[in-house]
Amino acid sequence: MIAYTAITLSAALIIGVIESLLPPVIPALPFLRLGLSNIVLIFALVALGAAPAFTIAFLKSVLVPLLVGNPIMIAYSLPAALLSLGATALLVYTRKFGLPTVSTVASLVHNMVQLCVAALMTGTALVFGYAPYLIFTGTLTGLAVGFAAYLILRFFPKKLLEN
Amino acid sequence: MNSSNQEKRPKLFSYYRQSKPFLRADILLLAVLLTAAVLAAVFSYTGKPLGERAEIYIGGELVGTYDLNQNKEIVYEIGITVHIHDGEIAVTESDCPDQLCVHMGAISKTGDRIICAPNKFVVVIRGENNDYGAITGRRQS
Repeated sequence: MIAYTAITLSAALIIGVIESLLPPVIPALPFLRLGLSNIVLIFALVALGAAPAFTIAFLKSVLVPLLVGNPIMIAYSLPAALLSLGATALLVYTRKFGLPTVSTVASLVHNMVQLCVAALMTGTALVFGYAPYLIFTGTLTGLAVGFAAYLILRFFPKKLLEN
Repeated sequence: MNSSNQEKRPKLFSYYRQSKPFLRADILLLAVLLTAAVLAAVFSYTGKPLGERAEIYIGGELVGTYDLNQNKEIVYEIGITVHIHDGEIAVTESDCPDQLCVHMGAISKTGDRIICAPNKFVVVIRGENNDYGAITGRRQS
């Protein structure tokens, strides 16, 4: 299990670093991200379990900002990643919701936590003016990311997880 | 249902492998989420009037209000330079690592804002009658 966790963590790190090197999707809103590493986190939660998933989320949120050379990012990424994974876990364990919906909720939680951190850091509620943009884009990317996670779980070779 | 007997692997794995991408309970939740998204999109993309002046906040404190119809460069000792030019305002230099504020470019419409979280720096554009003040709940003047 430690080996699986490590391999999945490295996948999350690679995606996280690549994503932060990509140019912003919307140039006027450069803080918007696709949230691709959530594919890995949903996979980890469903295929490996809660403890590996939270370990990966924690290490990824600390390591990606360090690898990219922007340690302030940890203040945003860590609380957002843990809380959104918490929301994911709650919904996944009910077994009532499909992964695209779960991922959409996770992406919205992630965005709102980051806005709260930004509000604390700047000392003003003005940051919440970005909420409409984040809700709209977060819903679209959340659905896409969740569908990708669904496809990966659906077609993941079972043999690889059988030992 | 349980095609797997490995104790290490959660049964969740088989469950989500065999289920459809959307389940029945999704309809309600997705309806709420998509409605919120559509409302947010409508709100974001409806044309906002051009602004009159820019308010600058550092650490949550209003430190200056500038008319946008002038050419001016303002340097803040926290490491930020802003440029006002032809009704637009932009952060042109910042010492923060991510440079998000610089990449946001120039803004000109009422309610638009540029935020540099590492420097605790915010620029907001205000119009004549402060229509957007209510949204932020932080009118100070």
